[in-house]
Amino acid sequence: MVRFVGSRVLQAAGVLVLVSLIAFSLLKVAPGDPAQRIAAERGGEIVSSREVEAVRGELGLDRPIWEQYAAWLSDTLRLNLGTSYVSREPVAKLIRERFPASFALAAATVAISTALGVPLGVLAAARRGPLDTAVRTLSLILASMPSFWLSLLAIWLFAAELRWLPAIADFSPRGLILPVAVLALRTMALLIRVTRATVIETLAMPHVMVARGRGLPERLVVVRHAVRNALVPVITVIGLDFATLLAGAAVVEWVFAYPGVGRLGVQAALNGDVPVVLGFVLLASVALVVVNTVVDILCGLLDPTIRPARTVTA
Amino acid sequence: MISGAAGRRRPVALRLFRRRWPHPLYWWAAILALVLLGAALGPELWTTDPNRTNLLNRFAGPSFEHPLGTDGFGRDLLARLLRGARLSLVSAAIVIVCSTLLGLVVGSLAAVVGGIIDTLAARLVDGLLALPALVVALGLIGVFGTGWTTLVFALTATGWPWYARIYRSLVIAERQKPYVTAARAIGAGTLRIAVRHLGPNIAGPVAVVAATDLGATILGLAAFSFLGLGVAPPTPEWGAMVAEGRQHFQSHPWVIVAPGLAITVTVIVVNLFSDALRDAADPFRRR
Repeated sequence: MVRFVGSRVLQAAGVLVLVSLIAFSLLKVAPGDPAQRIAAERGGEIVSSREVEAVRGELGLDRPIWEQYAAWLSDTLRLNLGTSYVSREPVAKLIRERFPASFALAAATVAISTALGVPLGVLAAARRGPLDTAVRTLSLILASMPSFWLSLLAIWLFAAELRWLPAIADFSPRGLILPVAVLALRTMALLIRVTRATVIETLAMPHVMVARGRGLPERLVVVRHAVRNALVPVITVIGLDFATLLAGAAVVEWVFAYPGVGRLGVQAALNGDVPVVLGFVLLASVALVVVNTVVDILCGLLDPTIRPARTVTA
Repeated sequence: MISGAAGRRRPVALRLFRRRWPHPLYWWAAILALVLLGAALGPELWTTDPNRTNLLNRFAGPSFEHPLGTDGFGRDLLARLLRGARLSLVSAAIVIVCSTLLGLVVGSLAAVVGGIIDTLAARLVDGLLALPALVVALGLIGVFGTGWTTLVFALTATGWPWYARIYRSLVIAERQKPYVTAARAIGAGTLRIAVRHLGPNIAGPVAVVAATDLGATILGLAAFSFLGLGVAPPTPEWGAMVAEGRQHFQSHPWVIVAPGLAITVTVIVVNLFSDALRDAADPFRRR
């Protein structure tokens, strides 16, 4: 078990190094000269090349690339992510201010879609027939709709026509309802598919046949024997959804003008605000890697058979 | 596949129908072909200029001149939708072809060369797959600036590792099969084996992988264009059309319903087609 946890943590560390390399190279290839920009900020319109060179030396931009990387990495690890080109505020502060809103959005979405999606998936797998067809059709349609469009339709119906809920979602229980509903529908569609597929798979396994042979009622066969074994892939998907939603809800946050990290990222991309964009990419990647590792370790605890196999297939 | 019990309940006429066309793949392929044909020929047949504005005729209802009405600038919605179809499908095709080629090159090179190169490539691909693809794509667009080229580049750059991983394991599994050994035994070179023998044998799975990714790619392109991170405004693109219609959609919902429906229906058809294709390629897979 210690070896399993250790190898997962090592893998995560490897991915994080890759993330840092990508972010650093993006910073380096970004168009525009940061020294020029800063010199212009200090000295007004006309900047001599000597001033630019001075700033370059000050920022360490004339040092070898690996030294620059080391300096950047130590800054990043201390959460010193630079300042926004637009608002002049530290990137870490901008993200910290918006993180709770995104966290609440992702947590509520995952909670609701799990509460609905897992039972629906199990039911669809256990009953097949018309319920199965209905659930599958619904999840196909939901997965094929662009989320921005679904958000706008929801605003049109519930905010403009019925006037039940606000069209602009602030960080409050009332404001959360519509964005959470839109995101939960999509997440649920995915979860239904995965749950259904894995339960159908486990229902065909020998131990289920044995349980049926012993004369257990079908309900107990499904709940005790099939669902328990289908848990691992389902938990993996839930963890993945949560981590993806932390930053990946950007489109829905944008439509509802929700004050989350995703909207910050989109706005920064539109403005070409490189420090904020990279901060957003770093946050989303680190969140995904950390959550994935935790989920993998949890699944290893739940299901001993995947522990040795992990190191081979991963 | 439909189980035996469900099949028996079907009316006789339908059952005969099923027997003559043994697989739903043909149906979805035919419908998808219609969509593609519409995108290819539509703008040639319906020649109204998609960018001609007419401020006296804003939000017009359906008429002979404008079968689907007009948008907030008095532009013909049908012409814009057809142009948008072409742009969306061509862009998605470019992203998928580039990702497939990149994935094939990296995946099969890693599989064929083996050793430390293979390990490094596999690690790199796994690492890239552990990143949030759409967020990294957003990052690339934020750094390199918005526009169609950057968008296609960003989606390709974040999409190829998935292909590479699948193709690598595919080639590893395939090259151990007897026909490869036989080809080698009669003196065929590596390149010849790759092109003449491996190629045709992995073409099916490659097509399945590409088709599976098509729906998600169309949605990704539309989402970035909606956010204003893709094609610039006057160009008719489905996602951008929804964004443009946003200002007036409370009074004129049709201007965003139409392009949104176009995306949804296209992606549904594409997804059903790719599901059917996967089932046809692997008939023993459980559904």
